[in-house]
Order: sequence, then structure tokens, then C-alpha cells
Amino acid sequence: MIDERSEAEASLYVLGALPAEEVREFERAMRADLELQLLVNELRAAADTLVVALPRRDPPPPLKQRLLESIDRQEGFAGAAAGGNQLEPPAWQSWMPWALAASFALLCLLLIALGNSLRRQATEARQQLNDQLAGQQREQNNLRTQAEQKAAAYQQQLTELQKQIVRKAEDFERQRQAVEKESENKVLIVQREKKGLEVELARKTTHNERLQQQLADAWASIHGDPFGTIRMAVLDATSDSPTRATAAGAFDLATGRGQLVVESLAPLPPDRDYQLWLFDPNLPGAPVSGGVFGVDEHGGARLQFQPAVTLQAVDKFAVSIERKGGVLAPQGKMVLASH
Amino acid sequence: MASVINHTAWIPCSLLPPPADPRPVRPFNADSVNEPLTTIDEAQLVQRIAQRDRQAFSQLYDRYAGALYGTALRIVNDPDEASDILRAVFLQIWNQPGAYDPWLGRPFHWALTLTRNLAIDRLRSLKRRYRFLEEETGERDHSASEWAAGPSEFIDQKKVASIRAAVRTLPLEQRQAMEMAFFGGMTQNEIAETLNQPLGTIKARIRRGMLELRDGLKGAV
Repeated sequence: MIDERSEAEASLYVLGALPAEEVREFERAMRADLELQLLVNELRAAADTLVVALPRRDPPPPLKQRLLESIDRQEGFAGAAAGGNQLEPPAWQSWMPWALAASFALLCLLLIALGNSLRRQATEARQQLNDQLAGQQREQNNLRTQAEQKAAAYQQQLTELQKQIVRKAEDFERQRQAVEKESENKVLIVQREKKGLEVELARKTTHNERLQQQLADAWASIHGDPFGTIRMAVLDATSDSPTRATAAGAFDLATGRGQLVVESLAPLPPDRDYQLWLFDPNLPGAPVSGGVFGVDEHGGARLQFQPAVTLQAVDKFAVSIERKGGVLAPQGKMVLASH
Repeated sequence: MASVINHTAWIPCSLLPPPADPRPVRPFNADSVNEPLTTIDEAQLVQRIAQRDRQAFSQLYDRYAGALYGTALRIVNDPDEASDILRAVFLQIWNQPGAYDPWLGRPFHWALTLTRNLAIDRLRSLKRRYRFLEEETGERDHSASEWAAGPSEFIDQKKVASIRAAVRTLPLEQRQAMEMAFFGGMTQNEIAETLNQPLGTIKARIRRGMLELRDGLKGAV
């Protein structure tokens, strides 16, 4: 394989543009490289065509005639010189042609023998070179086969290693995903358990508070004022009441129970009820329902009630007219209220 | 029929791979003495010249004179100088036909080398420099008669057209560098200096140009 540098040097060499010191080096390299010699021959033929591509310029017609006359003169002079020498031939020239012929024949025999010898040597050298070339070719083929086999084996090993790496990576990924999933499940279980425990703790805390309150109330009932937790009030008719009704209410903060007694309230239509409201100062603007009730033909009623919400204090009672069954917050007219 | 020797002097031809277009030189045959001169190849003409055959010399002149004169004229750019060079070349062929070495190529290559060397020496002695003329091998269209080779010349007309087409396809800067070397006898350094280009650029241009020319000529010669 000829590289670009050698191609450039061959081109410059053929065109005569290679410096003298590089010419010797290039010719030395060319003697050892058959491919380079062939390239030089091809490039030399190509360079000659530069001349062919030039426009045709015919030399002056008389030039040929002058040239032929010149060589005729040369040959004539040589012939004349040869003729002049024949005027006085020396005596030894009578036997000289025979001596020359004999010498020439001897020389021919020697040359023929030398030629045969050289031909034999050339044949042998050619045979040796051919054998060497064949041997090198065989060795080259063997080396190439071995290299290909080794390359194939390495490729197979590489492929196997790659497969193993892929399998290991997949196993690792599966294990990682399993560990992650297990961890997530455990976290969920712990969170659920934590939430259950928090609910239980809240329930226990509420229960504990209630027990403490009951204990405090019991302690107060035993050791304190027995009526200290009872709130009582008298309710008078408001300006919206159609009658001059009155009522009295009591509520025990300790037990969360109370009683209301009403007189002279006006009967209500069937779709209406009276509803009792208790006002805790700790819950401003949010009265707690004490329940609904109706009145008899005299306008009287007695209601025992227990609000759904635990009250810490009660400072006011009131009664309003609401729709049947009661409401969550007072909407109708207040007909009775404590002071 | 022209002949091309594709072997070199350093190795026996039997060890070389066969050339792409093998046309070996026919050995001289005594019978060819009676053959018409217009049909025998150039190597045989040179052999006959060595035997002082005036007709063979005349025949070789008819085949080569146009191309060699054009080459000399291209280099020295002077018709009288070119005529002197052509005369000196053919006298050398007549006087020293044994200097022709068939291993180094066909006789035309030998004659062309003689012509180039003489013309370049003359150019240097005149202290002149080769002048690249683009139109000579460039884009200008020449008439068919300007390019036509005569029937007795060493290469036929169809091949001349193919060769010229191959040369014309070369880029101008490549052709210029190649011609400055081939016709101007300038070294790579002188070309680089004259064209004010790096040496590597000149080398690359010449290399590409020569390879393209070689490839373009395949089948043409």
C-alpha cells in the first residue's frame, strides 16, 4: 500500500520537481518497492501526455531537410575517412581479419556459455523467489486464519461477558425493586398503626378528661356546694310573643341535664315546634339546642333535656318558634328569654 | 502501433505483475527490414537507426517532430530556439541510438526527456523563466486541425482528443503546478516560491493532479 507521501514524491520525481538530495533517497526506496515502481511508470506515462495535449506546432519544413543533410554529411565524412585509410594498407592487415574473426568466434562461445550460466542462475533465483513467495503466502494465510480464529473467540467471550453483565444488572434491578416495594409496604403498615394509635390516644385522652371532670364533679358534690353546678333562670315573654307566657329553667353543669317548665304559651300549628336554646359564654354566637317541645291546651309544658354538647357554663335560656323537629341554629322568633 | 514499456530497469520483468495494457516491445527481426516503415513500431525504428538506416530516421522524425517541437516551443517560447533544440535532439538520436534503454519506457519518452532537458537548459542559459500559459492546455477551444495528429505520428487522433479531455478536466492550479515542473524544470520549492504558496500545498496539488490525470487517461492511451 502506497501512502500519500510516497504518491507525492513519485509525482514530483516523474515531473522532475524533486530536489536532488531527495531523488537519491526516493530511487533507493523505489528499488525495494515493486508497487512504487509500477506507480512511477504509470505517472511517467501520464506526464508524457501533457505534451500530447499541447496544440500542434509543426516545425519549419526546411528543418528536416537540413537535418538529413547533416547526417548525410556526417556519414559521408566517415566514409571518406574510411576510404582514405585504404590507400596504403599495412601488411599485417592481410591476416588481421582472420584473427579478428577467430577472436570474435571465441568471444561468442564465451558469451554463449556465460549466457547459459546466467540464464540457469536466473531460473534458479526465480524459482527460489517463487518458493519463498509461496511460503510467505502460506505463512500469511496461516497467520490470518489464526488471527481470525482468535478474534472470533475473543468476540464470543466478549458477547458472553456482556450477557452476564446484562443478567446481573437485571437481577440487581429486580432485587432493588423488591426491597423498595417491601420498604413501602412497611412504611404504610407503620403509618396505619401510627394513625390507629393516635386515634386510640385521642379517644383515651377524651375519656380521661371526662373521667377527670366526673371525678372533679363528684369531688365537688361530696366536698363542695351541692348546688354550685346548677344554673337557674326565669324566662319572660318577649315582644314577639303573642301571649304573656312565662317559664323557668334549670341546668346542672355537672350532669349535663336540665328541666324547663312553661306556662301560657300559645299553641302552635302542626308544622311548628318550640325549641329551647342554652347560651354558653365560651361559645359566643352559637347557642346549643336543648330540644323541641309542644304545649298542652293551657299552654303549659314540662321538658327534661340533655344537650348533645358538654357545656362548661350557661348564662342564658331562650325559646324560639321553629319548624317541626327543630333546627341547628335559631331561625324563628324568640318568644321567651331569660335576663 | 505504439509500444509502452511498463517495467523498470531494476527488476526482471518476469517478477512484475502484468501491466494493465501490456504491449511489449517486439524484438528486432531481420525480416522486418523488408517491412514498410509506416507499420513497424518505434522501438524497431530506433534499432534500424542504430544500423544507420536513413529512412527509419526520417520516419521517426515524421512521427515525433510535431510533439517535440511543440514541447520545445512551449518551454523556450521562441521558434528559432525550438528549431535548434529539435535539431540537436534528432542529431543525438542519430549519433547515440544505443543510449535508448527500453526498460525506461518507449522511445518517445526517451526523445521527450532529451527535448525537455535541452530546452530547460537553454531556458536557464537565457536566464528566463518558464511562463505558464493557461490557454495552451486550458479552456480555450482549439480547432480540430490544431489538435489533429497526422497519420504517421505516434498516436492517433481519437486518443489525442481523449488525452486532451483528460488534461482539461484538471483544475487550473494543479495543471499550473504540474506544467511549471514538467515544462519549466522547476523544483517543488521554486514552484512554491513563485506561486507564493506553502510547499505542502504544491506537493498536494501535484500529487492530486498526477493521480487524476493517470486515472483519467485509463483507456485513452
